[in-house]
Amino acid sequence: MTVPTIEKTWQFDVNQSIEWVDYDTSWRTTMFLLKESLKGFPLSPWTVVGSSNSVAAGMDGVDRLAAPANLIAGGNHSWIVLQQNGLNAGFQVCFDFTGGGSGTVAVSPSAGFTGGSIAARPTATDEYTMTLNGTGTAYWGIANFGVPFKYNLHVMQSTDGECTRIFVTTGSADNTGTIYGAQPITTLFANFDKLRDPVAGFSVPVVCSWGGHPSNQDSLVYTNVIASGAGVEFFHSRDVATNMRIAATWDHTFNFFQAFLVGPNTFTGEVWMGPVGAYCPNTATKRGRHGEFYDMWSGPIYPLTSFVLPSAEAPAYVKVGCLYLPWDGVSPTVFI
Amino acid sequence: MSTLPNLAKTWQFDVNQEIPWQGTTARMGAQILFLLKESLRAFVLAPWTVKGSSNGVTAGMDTVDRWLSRSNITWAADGVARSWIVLQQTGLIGVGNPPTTGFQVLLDCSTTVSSAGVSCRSLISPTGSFTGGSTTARPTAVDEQAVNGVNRTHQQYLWNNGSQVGATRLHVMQSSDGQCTRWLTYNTSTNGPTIGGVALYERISNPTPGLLYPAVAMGYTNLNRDNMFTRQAGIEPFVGNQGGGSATQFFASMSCEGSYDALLPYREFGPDELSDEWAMHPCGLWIPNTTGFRARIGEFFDLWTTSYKLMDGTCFPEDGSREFVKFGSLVFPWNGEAPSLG
Repeated sequence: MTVPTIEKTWQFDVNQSIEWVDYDTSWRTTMFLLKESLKGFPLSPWTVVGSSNSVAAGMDGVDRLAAPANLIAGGNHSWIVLQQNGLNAGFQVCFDFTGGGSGTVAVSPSAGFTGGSIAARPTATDEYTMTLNGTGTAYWGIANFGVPFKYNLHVMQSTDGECTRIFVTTGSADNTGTIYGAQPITTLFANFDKLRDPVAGFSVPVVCSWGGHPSNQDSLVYTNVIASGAGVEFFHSRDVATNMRIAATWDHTFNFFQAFLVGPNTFTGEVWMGPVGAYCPNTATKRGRHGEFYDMWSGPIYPLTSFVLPSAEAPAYVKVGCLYLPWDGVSPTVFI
Repeated sequence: MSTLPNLAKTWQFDVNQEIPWQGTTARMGAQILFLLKESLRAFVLAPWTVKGSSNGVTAGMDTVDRWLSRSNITWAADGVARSWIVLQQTGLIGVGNPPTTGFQVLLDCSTTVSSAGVSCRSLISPTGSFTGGSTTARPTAVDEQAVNGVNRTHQQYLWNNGSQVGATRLHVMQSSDGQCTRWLTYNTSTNGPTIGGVALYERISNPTPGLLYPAVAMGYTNLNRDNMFTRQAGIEPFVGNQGGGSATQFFASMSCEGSYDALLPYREFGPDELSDEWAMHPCGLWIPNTTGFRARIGEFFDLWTTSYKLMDGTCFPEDGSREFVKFGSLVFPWNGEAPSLG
């Protein structure tokens, strides 16, 4: 099979099963495991800058989220700030667990977060917050339907720290066997990516997203990822003092793209995987195509079901939503 | 613009050729064809060769070039004595594997496809199989394919007849390995500089496995987005053939980077606002609709598209070195001269 060259070397902490106990346990477990994954990569891991467990707080390098039960929502609540210098010197993200299955994901490209208490997250002079398509709230990708759903958390990071991808998947059935959907879906996709070949003048060429959905709907559909209407672009970034919304781009013909992404190449039976660009369509003074993502590809959006390439025996790539990403080559892909 | 793409090919140019009004439309078309043929034969590296020709008096697939001047190029309907020529380029696909003697193009001065001098008939044979022919009939090939994918006809437009103001300009360029040949004519019409005729004969870059003859051709009258980048069944502009008859023909469209609602060149109203540079987007090639084939089959060598806001003839970079030029919706390598559009 003709597949693209993977430019980075990747570390994987994928197929993390989140068994259903109740809604709060699921979102707490998801975000706790995410933090543990980010901290636990052998090469260029994220580091803890500060945290709150709703009882004590401080920007003192202490991780107070020692267990899922330490993730507390409400007035006095939990938050954590993580740093990844591979993206940019002092690049930080703050997860603020104000609302149970939702909260705030704030990014500081360089200035860094300061302050914070058990009642309020730290802030940064250059921060921007991330949501799915301008909805205003960051969701952790867990649905509160009152029925048991099983989720899987997948975290991967390049060894140089320049790229981190996170996604949560759920299947078509709950633990009782009740069918709720047609195929596995991605209820959360998030990334922190330093761009490949950024244009000159892009001060911190990092593009991020936090596309979590609150009700078991697929956040990684192409109509989200390449949407280019003002305020609904999927990705976020910041240049100097201006926050930007970024849309993904990929190969199109005039007015059509999905039609030719319906299946594999009929000459070879193989899936074509094309590069994904980063384009700012609407932010005044920041418009333009500013670079492209490392090791992220577009390809046929059908079948919708996630699968691995080039084979189940040697899965080097995974289709997740409308994107294709590197995969660990060993582990079975568990999406339900 | 300071960040320019790297050229994959080295290029030979015979551009800015001025063609004054020749007195009649027929003579004008003949002069364009004569100069085009001369350019294609004269490139220093990997020139096209003549496989056969007719001047309306004698004909043969005997490698003789009977087009010695404009006056040897005569127009008539099918079945009547007229001129034609078959040109061959061995560099485009190669020779032998796959089975081909060289990529061939037929230019036939038939008035059955249009009035004399406006257009000619043009077909390709990727296997290099044109045979036969006489003063009254063009050669044929088992894998012959009409180059006009937009209209699905044999009609190769030559120039912008009827609305020209002043001279016509012919631009011919070819990669030094023979894999890519492009020509087009410009007139300054009442609507400004306008492409009248254009053709591309292209080796596909990074062709998909399974594409036996990795070559496409396009012959039309403009390079507009709506024609070049469409995927609408029946008007895909590029044509190819996998060595057989109509069952192995395919039709392809260009592609480039886009977001949900548009190709990027049609959302870019100015240069990138961070870098202050105009973007040049590489062009891909899709077979979106042809029965039996559907694939992204590769890319073009050294061909890009850019913002529709830029005028035809805009050159990059802006330091006067003119390494690239915008014609229609596409950007071509250029030789540093000021491009003349009419």
